[in-house]
Amino acid sequence: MADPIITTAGLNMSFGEVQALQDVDLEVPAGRIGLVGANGAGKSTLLKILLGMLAPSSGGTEVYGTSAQHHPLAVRSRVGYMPEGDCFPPDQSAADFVSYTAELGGLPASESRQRASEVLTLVGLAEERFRNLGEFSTGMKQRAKLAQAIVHSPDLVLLDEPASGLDPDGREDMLNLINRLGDFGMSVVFSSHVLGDIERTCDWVVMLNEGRLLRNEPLETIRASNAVQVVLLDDPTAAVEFLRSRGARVTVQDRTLEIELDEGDAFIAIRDALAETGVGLRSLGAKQTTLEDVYLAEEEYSG
Amino acid sequence: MSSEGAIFDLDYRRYEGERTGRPKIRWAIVRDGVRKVLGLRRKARRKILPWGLIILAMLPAIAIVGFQVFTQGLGADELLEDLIPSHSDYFGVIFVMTFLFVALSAPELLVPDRVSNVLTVYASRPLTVADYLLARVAALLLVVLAYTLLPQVVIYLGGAVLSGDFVGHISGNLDLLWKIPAGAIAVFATQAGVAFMISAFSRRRGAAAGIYIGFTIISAIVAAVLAETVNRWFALLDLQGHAQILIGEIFSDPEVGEGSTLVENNIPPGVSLIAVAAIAGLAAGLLYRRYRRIM
Repeated sequence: MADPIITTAGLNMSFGEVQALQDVDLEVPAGRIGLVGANGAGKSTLLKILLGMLAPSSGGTEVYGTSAQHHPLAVRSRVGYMPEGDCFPPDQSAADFVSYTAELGGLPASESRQRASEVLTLVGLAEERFRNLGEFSTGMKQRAKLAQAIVHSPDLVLLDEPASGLDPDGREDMLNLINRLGDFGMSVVFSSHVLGDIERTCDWVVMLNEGRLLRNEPLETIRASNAVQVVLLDDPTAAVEFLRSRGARVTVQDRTLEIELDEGDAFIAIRDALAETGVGLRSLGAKQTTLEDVYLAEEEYSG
Repeated sequence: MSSEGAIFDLDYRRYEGERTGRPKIRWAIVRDGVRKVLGLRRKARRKILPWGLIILAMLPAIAIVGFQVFTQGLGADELLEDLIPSHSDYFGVIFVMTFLFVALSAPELLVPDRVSNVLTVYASRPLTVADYLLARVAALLLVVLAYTLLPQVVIYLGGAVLSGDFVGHISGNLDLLWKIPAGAIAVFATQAGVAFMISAFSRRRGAAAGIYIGFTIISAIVAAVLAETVNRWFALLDLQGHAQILIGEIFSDPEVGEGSTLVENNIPPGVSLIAVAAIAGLAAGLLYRRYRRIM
């Protein structure tokens, strides 16, 4: 892995009786990082700790090698944050507010206005930028929140559920925008409980469940699988017995089999099984593992 | 002339220039606060109350200068001098308006940021809780200073112009150049702490202003009753009285504050000053504690 931009060590966070994060050890490289987990998994808590907005119960975090607990202002000067909920003064125009947040991020006043205008254009709010934020729809608010998060040119942007509450078109636009952020040289941590969104936008996945770290690795590693999926035309019982006699692990659902073999080629084993038992074949191919498969398997394993 | 057009891709460009430090960020929050209080870059209805009160504070000053213009040369200068309010008197003239101005301004600075969750944005930027609060207090100080000083400046400069000896009038009244701002700071110090403290816990601007006004009036009544029936030191609860005592002391004008519970109970100005400092210190501590928890 290249130099990690985010590191956590033995991170624990509790709110009274509730353990929000448990012994989270992370090393995350630059890029588009998906932070996956169900509601209450600890995603928002982790983002706030990375910004130094929350102090962990124990353990520590570093962002670009700087401790978020000891030097939160240094971290925040390189990071943008899009919170999950609303964060707007309703009586202020988007242009005024985003320009103001640029100044809060350390840009000179003379530059902020121009930057705000450019960024609002980028997120698709050029026409609406002089309207008051209180008059914005949910989709427009999400875009304005993204604009305030990136207006000061941070190196890393933390996006907390940026697509929540959006209709399908709005979601599509938001995911495209997030994809483009990487092209602009920004790393992105994108928290979501919608696994499909993460699969479409991210190249690295951090998976949390009930505050515990389940996975922290490249998406392609997670998706890689040795399993072969076979759909049969006939009763699969004989073929399953044959495959198991060859040492294969076989999962059966109706006439669909998933076959994994530690030694040898699974495709050859299947060929032999079909030839031996005479069972008809409908389809055959490498199994595509989705994040959902992994998440459910991990949840089951850890639960 | 070429008729060729060009399409520019207005893509994102990184800001590579120099970053400002925390002082500039604080100053941005101060400017934002001033705009909020005065309703600048807001809809017209947000301007009505602050600018209405500003006009009300200015009108007597303009009337005083106009009166001086009108009566100039009548040969009754000494008689008229008694009729025209002095600089220390003017604090009394606009006292209620200043009180209302602070009552409306302090909630404007704190309540919307908290209720609309804008504090999350502040918390994600390179600034501390103290930066935010100091900048908000500075914004209120600036507008209260401007509110109390502008009419005084009109009277001061009006008097200088009408005296026929501009330089002589200015040099003869140099002490006013520190006394007037000091009086304005005394007004701010006695009022801002409590107003901010109430605003820090209220979810509505109007409610915060109402509670502050009610609290101040009730504290004056309680001070008067307890000072008379229990112990004279209860007069210290008369919050607004402190400002009058301090202004009287700054301008060496014992008539200012006459009739107030503090004066009637012989509370020394030094004690008043300590009480104001204590209230301001307590308010600052509570405010910081409150915002440390929510920001």
